[in-house]
Amino acid sequence: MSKIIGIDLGTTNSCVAVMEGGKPVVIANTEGVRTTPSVVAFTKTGERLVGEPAKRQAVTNADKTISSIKRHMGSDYRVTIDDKKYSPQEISAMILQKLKADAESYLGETVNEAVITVPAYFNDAQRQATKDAGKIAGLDVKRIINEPTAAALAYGLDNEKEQKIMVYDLGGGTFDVSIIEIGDGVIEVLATSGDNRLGGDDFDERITRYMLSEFKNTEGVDLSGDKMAMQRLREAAEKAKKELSSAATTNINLPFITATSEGPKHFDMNLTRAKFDELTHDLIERTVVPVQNALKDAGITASELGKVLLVGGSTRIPAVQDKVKQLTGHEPSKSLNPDECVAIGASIQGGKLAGDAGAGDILLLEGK
Amino acid sequence: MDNLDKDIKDLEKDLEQEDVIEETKAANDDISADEPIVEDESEDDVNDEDCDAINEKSSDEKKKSLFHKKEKKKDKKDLKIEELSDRLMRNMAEFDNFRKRTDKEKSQMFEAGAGLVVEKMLPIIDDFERGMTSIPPEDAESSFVTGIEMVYKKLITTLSDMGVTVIEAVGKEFDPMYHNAVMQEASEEYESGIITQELQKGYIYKEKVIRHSMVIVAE
Repeated sequence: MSKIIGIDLGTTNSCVAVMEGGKPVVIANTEGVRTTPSVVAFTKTGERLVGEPAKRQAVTNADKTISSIKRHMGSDYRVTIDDKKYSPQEISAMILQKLKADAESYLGETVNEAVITVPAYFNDAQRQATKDAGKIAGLDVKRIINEPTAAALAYGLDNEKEQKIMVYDLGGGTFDVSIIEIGDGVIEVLATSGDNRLGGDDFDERITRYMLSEFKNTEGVDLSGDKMAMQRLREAAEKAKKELSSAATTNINLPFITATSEGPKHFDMNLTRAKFDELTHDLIERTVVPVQNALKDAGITASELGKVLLVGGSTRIPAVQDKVKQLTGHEPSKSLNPDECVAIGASIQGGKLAGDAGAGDILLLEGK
Repeated sequence: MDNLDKDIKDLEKDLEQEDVIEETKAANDDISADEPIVEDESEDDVNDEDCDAINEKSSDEKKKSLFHKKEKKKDKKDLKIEELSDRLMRNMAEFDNFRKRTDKEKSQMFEAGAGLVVEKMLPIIDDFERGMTSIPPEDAESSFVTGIEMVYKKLITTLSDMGVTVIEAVGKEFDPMYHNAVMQEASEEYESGIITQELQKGYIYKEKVIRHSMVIVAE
């Protein structure tokens, strides 16, 4: 009997995992990366690209490159490419096909079944569309489970006592907060809230803007018109953001950033975490009201929460973690890779369904 | 293995709930877990004295006899044995696959590591090259500049000898497998889809792209 893979089909990035020897393993794609951009492209020659290659050609082929299709799942939205119309589930199926192929390559056997995750707020139409996408991709979708539930499974919370849990998911492009209740073999969603236009890119952009203004002040040069310089600045901004998650200060060093009549100019700046927090403070503040709304809708106070889980790459930012602690009074759980834990949870569910992962199955009550 | 013990208990519970045991079908199926497994106070009856009576497998027969209950228990054990044997075989196949994959990964480890190191060096090479292109003309012939140029040449040769090559860009057709298009621009000189400018060099190390060329493509 073949394995049931677990898939986190994300808005910006997707991830696939599988149970192996009783432990979940994240599967890298053909480029060797453990997450795959949720981008699909149709090239001029009629070739289909999925993932990083699709991303790399996006600016040359904007009309036929599709990203963030998840935002349209369950709707009548259609993409027209070369006089052919595609539904969101058909586009998602292309992403799922790539993940399926990567999993088969890794496992050395065919994969026909999967568990796929969806946001807790997805309605029936959206869930059905996700299931259909799986079917189109050649996957029998044994379960659709909620992303916060998958996170809870990944943290093994289904084996713990009954408790209410908050999942704070700040990832590529969307912020979702959910309150779920775990009890007696059942996981139920009590409330959801969020901001669907808030993500890691917004944090990068704040640093880039700051770098531009600093350079203008010290060197009197506006780099925003220089394509190459802007590209280097953006990359350096993202790199600096990541470094500041573990260091209190980072140096951004870009020699020969531009050439002027006085000769070449260099960009050399130290960025402290404190400054970064100041630049991004309002972004993090945007998560406060959704968190409070979710607690209110669930009818509980933060002190009644048993655990708080962090999902999504941007939750690595210390200021985000501090804000979560401040809002909930709990030290958030972050021991699992926040980019991968949803897929890991899905694979654990897949393992249970396949009879791999030990006793008992957990009934998932998909309450709204 | 804890999992196996738990699995045996699961099997016990399941088997006792079924009224009719279809041996041949059940022997080949894993437990269908689409329905939640209901909690049951069933006991582990492996040590029942009945099991001593009959030792042969009779999994192909569904005898109705005076000792129907005994038969049922024996069949359950056979089913258990077949289920566990199947699971064992699967585990062994999984392990074999794991071993093959690990061996492959091990042999690729060195190149993977070297590729990572080279990738980290690339921005430094970029900056070096930027420096080389901004030498003021009056200094171009100085012995210091000549010395730096010699160091640069040595750096490039060392990388090349290691198996690092530059990806061709300008004038070539854009290929997302090798290039990363960050911009499009109108071009008189080049046809649509041809790379007009290279903003950052791309490199291949031993047939693997370690950094894609950052390019501008003709509209």
